[in-house]
Amino acid sequence: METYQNKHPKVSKQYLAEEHFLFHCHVRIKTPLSAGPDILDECFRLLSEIDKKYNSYVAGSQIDLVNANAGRVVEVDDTAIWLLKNIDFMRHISAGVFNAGVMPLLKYWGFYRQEGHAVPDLAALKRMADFIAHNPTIIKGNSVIIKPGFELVTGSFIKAFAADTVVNFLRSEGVTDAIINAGGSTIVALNDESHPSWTVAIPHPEKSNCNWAYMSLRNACLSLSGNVMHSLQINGQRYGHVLNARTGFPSRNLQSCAITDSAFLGDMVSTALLADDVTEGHLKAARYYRQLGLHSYYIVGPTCIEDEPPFIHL
Amino acid sequence: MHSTYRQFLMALIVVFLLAIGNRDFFLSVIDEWRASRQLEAQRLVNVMEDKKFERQRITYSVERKALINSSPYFATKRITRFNFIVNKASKRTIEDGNISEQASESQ
Repeated sequence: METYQNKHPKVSKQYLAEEHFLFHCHVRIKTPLSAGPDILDECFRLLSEIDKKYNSYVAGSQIDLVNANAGRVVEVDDTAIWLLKNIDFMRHISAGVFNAGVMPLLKYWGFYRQEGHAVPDLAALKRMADFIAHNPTIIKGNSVIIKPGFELVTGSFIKAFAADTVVNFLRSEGVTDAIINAGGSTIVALNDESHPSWTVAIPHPEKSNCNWAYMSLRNACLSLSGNVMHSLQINGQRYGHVLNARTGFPSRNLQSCAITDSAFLGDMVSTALLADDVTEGHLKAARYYRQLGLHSYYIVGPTCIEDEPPFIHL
Repeated sequence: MHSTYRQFLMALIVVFLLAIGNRDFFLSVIDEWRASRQLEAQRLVNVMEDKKFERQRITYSVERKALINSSPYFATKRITRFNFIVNKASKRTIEDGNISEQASESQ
């Protein structure tokens, strides 16, 4: 396969790179050396603030408070409202396949247990999926309420939202060449004439330690979702951690990828694409996603038959 | 060496003054010298107080036959080619822009 390095001249610039553990993953930012170290410090301060304030896994965060007070009204700030409204919009346009309230299903499957895994009772699973589908987050002004039994999980979008915030900050500071790699599954590239694009290596969905493509990314975000790394083994069958919220079952798709303008959209879209393993709903949904800023995507089904990522360019 | 030379000079002056019998002049020179030493010591104390130096008590141990400093202390060693970047709490490095970023489905 022809790689980026063969097609493009090398960049002579030097960059400051720094990595921190945030959002339960390693977040790495590279900015030009000429931008100075203070820019990086501020980027990580912003990320840390978002992690503390909106990550559902962080005790005391605004989303954690909404979960902890299920059935009661919780006052949150404008950013939390913006996030909740957008994830609800994504639930709507993905026809319920993407749902940030999927946590009870994940727990029921045993993704947060170390042992005692078994295929859940199908009737109970259906009831739970229906409950999640028909009880969205209720928002009025800055007040939020979720039903008892419902639990929001920010894992599919919070670090992408944080990456977008960092991109906005960098642009406001005049930094037009940088890359933000949040856990490998969210990579945002900022480019100018001096550095036309960044190279991103995409891992093969099944073969370990093997990249099946190198692609150049220019002023866009690459979001990658997969079901191989995090999965459960029940009676010899593998169940991935991304659930189709409509069926309540783990998706059988192996990998999905979205190239978008915004990381926040990209992460939600790649999760929704991966989760949709039953219908061809993604083809219909892609039209909406395109209007929001989706440029290309691919989905690898339960069996990988492709030699390279089957990108669909919109 | 300098101090020894000064002491020798002082002794010569003492002998000279004693020889000519002007005791007052001898005593005034001694007093002036003591006063200058005290002034210098006081100046050092003032500098130390201004810079918030830590004062440590050193005691003589009869058993070990040595001066013992019971306060915790450290000694500065000579350091060459110290890389401050890698010793920061965060992993900050200098790289070029041609290294590909590794995507991953894991978080």
